[in-house]
Amino acid sequence: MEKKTNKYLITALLLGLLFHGASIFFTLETTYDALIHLFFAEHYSQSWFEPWNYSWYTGFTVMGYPPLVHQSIALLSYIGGLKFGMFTVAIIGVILFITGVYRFALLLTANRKVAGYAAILAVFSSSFVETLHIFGQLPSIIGISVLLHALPEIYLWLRTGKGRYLTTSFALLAVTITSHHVTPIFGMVFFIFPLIGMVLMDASKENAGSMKAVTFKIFLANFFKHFKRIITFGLGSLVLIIGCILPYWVNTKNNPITQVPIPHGSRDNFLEVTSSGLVFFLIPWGILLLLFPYLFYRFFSKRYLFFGISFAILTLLGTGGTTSIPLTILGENAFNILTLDRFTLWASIIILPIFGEFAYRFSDGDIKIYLQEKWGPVMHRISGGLLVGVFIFIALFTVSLGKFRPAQPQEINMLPIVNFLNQDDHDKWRYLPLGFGDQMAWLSAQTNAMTVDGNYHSARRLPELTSKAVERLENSKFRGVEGIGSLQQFLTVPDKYHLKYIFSNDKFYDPILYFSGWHRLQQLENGIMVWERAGVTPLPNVLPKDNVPLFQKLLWGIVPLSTVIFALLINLRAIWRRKLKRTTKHSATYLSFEQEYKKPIKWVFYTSYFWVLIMMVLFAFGGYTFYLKNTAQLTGSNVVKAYYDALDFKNFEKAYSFINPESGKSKTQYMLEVSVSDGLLSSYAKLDAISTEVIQENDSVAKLKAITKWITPLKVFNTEEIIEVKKIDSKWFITPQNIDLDIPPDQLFSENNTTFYNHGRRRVTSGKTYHEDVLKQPVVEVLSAKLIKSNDEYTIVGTLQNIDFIPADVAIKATLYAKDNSVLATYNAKDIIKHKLFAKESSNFRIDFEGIAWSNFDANPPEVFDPEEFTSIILDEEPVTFNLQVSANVATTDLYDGLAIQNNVISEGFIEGTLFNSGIQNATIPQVLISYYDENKNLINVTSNYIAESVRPQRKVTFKIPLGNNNPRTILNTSLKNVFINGLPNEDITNKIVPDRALNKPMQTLIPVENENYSYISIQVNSYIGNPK
Amino acid sequence: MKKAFKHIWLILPLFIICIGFNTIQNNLMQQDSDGLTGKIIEDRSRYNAGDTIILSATIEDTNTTNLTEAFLQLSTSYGIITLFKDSNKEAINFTLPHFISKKSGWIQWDFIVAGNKLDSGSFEIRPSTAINKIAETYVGPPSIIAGGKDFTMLVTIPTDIYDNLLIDETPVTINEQRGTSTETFPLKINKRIAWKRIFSPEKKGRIFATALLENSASRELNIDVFANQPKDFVISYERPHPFADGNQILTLSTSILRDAYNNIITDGTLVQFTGVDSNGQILRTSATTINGTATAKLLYPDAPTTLKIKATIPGLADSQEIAIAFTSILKEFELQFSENNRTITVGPLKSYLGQLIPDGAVVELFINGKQEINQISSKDGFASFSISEDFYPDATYDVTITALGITKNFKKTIH
Repeated sequence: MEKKTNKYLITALLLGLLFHGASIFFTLETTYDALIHLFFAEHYSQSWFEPWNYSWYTGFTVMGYPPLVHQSIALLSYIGGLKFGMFTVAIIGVILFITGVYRFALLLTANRKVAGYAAILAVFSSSFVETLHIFGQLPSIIGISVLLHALPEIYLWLRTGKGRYLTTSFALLAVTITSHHVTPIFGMVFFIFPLIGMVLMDASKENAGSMKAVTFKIFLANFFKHFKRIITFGLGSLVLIIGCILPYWVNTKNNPITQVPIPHGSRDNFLEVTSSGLVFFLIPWGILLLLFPYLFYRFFSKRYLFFGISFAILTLLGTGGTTSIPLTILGENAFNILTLDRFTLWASIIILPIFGEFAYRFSDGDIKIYLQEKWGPVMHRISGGLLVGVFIFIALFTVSLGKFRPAQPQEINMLPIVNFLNQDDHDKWRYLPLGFGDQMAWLSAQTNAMTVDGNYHSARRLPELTSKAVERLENSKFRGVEGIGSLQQFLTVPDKYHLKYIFSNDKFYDPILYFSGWHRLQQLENGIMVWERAGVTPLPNVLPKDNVPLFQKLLWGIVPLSTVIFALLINLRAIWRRKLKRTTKHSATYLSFEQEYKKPIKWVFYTSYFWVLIMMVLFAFGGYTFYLKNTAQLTGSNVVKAYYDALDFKNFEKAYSFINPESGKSKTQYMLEVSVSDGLLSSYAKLDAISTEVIQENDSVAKLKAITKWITPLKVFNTEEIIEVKKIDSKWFITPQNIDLDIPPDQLFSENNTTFYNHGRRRVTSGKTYHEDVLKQPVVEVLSAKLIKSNDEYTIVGTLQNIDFIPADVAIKATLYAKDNSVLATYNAKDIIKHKLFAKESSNFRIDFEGIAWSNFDANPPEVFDPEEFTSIILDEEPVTFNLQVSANVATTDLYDGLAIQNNVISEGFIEGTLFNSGIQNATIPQVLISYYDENKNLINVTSNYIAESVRPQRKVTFKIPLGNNNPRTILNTSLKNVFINGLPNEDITNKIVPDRALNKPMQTLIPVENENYSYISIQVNSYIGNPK
Repeated sequence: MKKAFKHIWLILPLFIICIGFNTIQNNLMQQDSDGLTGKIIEDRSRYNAGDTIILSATIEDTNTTNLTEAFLQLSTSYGIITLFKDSNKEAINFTLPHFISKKSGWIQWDFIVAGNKLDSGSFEIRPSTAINKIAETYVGPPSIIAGGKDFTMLVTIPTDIYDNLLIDETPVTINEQRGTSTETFPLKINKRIAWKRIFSPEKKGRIFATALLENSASRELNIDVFANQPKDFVISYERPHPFADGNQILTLSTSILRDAYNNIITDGTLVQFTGVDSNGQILRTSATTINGTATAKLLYPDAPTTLKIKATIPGLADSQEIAIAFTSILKEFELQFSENNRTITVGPLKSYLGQLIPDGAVVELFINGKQEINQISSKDGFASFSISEDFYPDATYDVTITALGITKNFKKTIH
């Protein structure tokens, strides 16, 4: 037999290179994982043999992920940079995948045409397209592709027992192992076990004469005959799996993944969470779904039986949380660590030969003849066209999915951030990106500066992170309470991790940053806002690391690439032998198992027919339900929900379309009204839940109560609004609400203000800052501080005043001590304090001692999000004394005194009042601090309350705040002995600066209230200015 | 007690071993010293930093001794250093390297030949007198409070050109400029530094200072003197008219805030204004000072009242209380009903000149004591409520309407 170049394979390769090669440049950088691999590659390019990386999580080891792909990118980066390396490796991955599928298909079907078809189909296989273009899982792709290449060699070893096949098998397997750890382990089960089964079947067939004659007895006999080879291969691969990435296993043993699992879409119930169903089921399966009966029928034939079983299990595991079966099979632990989409990927790859076979039979084989006889050639062509059309459409749709539903923020130009970090020793502190998506890895790859965050969650080390299902702090708002909870701890106690700079690409986080004591530094050219926290100490010069023995470092650095070189050498030799020498006509053993395709079996055909019909009906039904659920104006409650939804997504045009057209409100007027509304609720909130309650209803009008839950970084807002809806021509509309007609008194007014500027370094030098350029820390005096017990919670409340002449930025760190002076807990003041104080301004404060939430693994985190959720720390003993370390630094920004309290009434446990803004800044988020005093006018509690609406200049906003927390409070300790200001005793400051404090000039005006637990309250206001003018 | 003895068993052998080694070493040292004598010809016991220091030695019995084994062991402030003899064949000279000879301090030496300590001694290197400079001068804190109680400290550390601290009693001069007067203070170095406390004057401003040495000077040093704590002050108010229309700005200002020495308080000092109206409701506003005066603003009340306002700098100073009365802008308002009484129009709401009141006055409607319809704001002097028949069937209702402090209550049949 003269061998010819397989034109189908060439076509597949050309198509693959064209299609994927052209599109990865637009997709790969916005995938979930690609940039993470790039970051790892950057690590290897900098320090090939040193596994410790300081950039993320206060340091972690890269031995947590097999290194081959990263090291290859690193190696290529020396030629053309990191991204060149990444794209090159991706293209190599595409070639390996297509050829791998070809060889695998040839192995299974022994038909070059079928294998060629399979290779072409592999190019557009939607699961492969998704893995590459949406998920960016390069190691996984390389791993599975090389495994596919290894399968024919393994088959040949098992059949022939020739040593050279064992060598090639092991060489390729080693490459798989060093590129991805999960692939060979599960590949053993799902690819190699069925392959062994097929080998035995083939051997049995040869013994018995035909497949039909194969009995279990013959099969068993063959098993024992091949047992030695199987065992040799099995043991060898076990040694390889352990040996090639030994440091990985050592690391896994030393640092077991003891983290709260991070939710992953592939574990969802696809019927409930339809978006996960789309991404992890519909897209990867694509057209294959329609062919299930044929695929199963073929795979459950005698020869492929074991592949059939493997395929069935993979398919089942890929359904995630839809049924409880995958959970039962994998067990709780594996289920929560593995991402189950890979099973679907493998299932769709394992079936490709059969899919290729179908395509061949449909377009060129017996099915074509059968159909043309049955339907006529036109119908056959139309149906073929349809199948190909849908198949290509799904592939194209998948590639461009990132464009339609961006999973990542817009591409950020990192250069200004990198430059900022390089300037003026900014990289001596840690930074934190917010709202960067997976691009944070790209930033990390470009800078020496370190972050507390990271993007490889298996390596998370800080308890604040591992105790919660937080993938990254950076996108914590998507992780609800746990995310924001984790973030808040870092923001409140930044000195613990030397965290000084935050790059915010999402203004959602801005309020929590401001109220935790951070301030804006500058906006970079790329629009990223830099936030800074004053008074954080720089990182020490020497940072701790987990060292590993030298032999592990050498293994890790040398083995992976050696496996590639070895595999290449071996295979080149084989190719040399096969192609060039041509001394022996070589033909692989498996090629003798070619099957003849005679005529499709009727019942399979009809089952397929019905199956396609059923699928069509299901799709139609799904579409119809979708339509019903999402039709806005079908009922009164639907229109209210749709209206809020539109407001949430800032789709005001859509929101206006729900407004009663008879109300006379013009679109311009509506848009104008929307544009002047600002504040926590309209600019920083995300709608979490909405339900409606009918108050009154008849055929044409209804009064509904819309109960909404909004998530903001500061608190959850539960609002209730009464909305009138009206039915006009079978569509429901919302009656617009009256707007505030109040007009401010002055058209133009002026205001004088003292503003401040700090030069920082006055000389342009990279040397140490000159002594005279260092500002004096403002002097703050703590006037009172008390340790308060309420139920089992301990808090410290008090009053402090900036008694200096310059504005102060105040941070308080409190420590609780037990009777024997052992430290019980330490925490900083979060948002219950005014951090930025004018000269002589005072503020009441409360410090809560927050524990690390759900650090107990059994405790289930709540499913709903509540940023105010507070995990109080569990103390071993009752605290007796406390220590306050107040650090004050000069504040020059975020000082605003324009908010006035215009009036207030206390009734039925609420304080109602009006805020008036007399200044020229828009007070975006007003904060009202309410202090509670006992009958002796001792401060016992302080609460922080945020007002949902902003207060524009010369306008007023009313507020209604519940007077809360009626638990009795006992004062445990009021001593100021252990209070220190900038390291100096508070007592000395009192004696020196204000020795004769006028006690008759009170700090606060107290308002008497009737309550059994407190007798007076006082109010203080603070505000976050979203857009300073 | 038993435990303590256990430790002795551990320590005792160690102790014995130590003594043993020491003795052996001493014996070894003295072993060959018979007949070998030598000494350093020391000409000076005091050098200046930067001098070339050469120590010469003589050894008797040079024939039998290999001179390469002669060395000088120096104990300096940098640690112990071994010096071998200079390459000159004839004489046995030891030249101290420059990095040692430029550093002030005491140096102890041992002259050792072939393991025998033949001579020992010490000398002092004093700071160079050639050129002196002022290496570091600090003043801190950089700002102080006027009044003479608060002080800052100027510390100067003069050195020679080799960065050696100068010896005590070296004269240093500190010059101070306060306003137009210049003062000179002669100081002497004490414990290697010179320092002076600079007490604040009564006037706020800036003090300039410098430290001078015989032939060098420090940088210019600045000390800011801020005003002391404020004294009590008076406040006044300004308003466009006395009517409680809820739509004008009441401006409150302080007199110029000064401290006990008549200095104007630093700009940016916060003054709080707290008011109480006739109903006991609290009003609060604040402002920062500019040139000693703080000007705060409040919105007019929308019902007749008297505001009692007082300003404070908490715990430090306050003002007198002022009372500001606001009178009502209207005594009565009219109501108009539609034919079926389903629309109630309030107005025209007229103000003190008979003009229509500015938009935004709050009008509230209560039906049967419940505020079923949200409060609305007036527009062009009118506010109109429509009572929907979908929610209020025909019946007689108890209706209350409130506007600008005036309330009307009546029963109305809606049909």
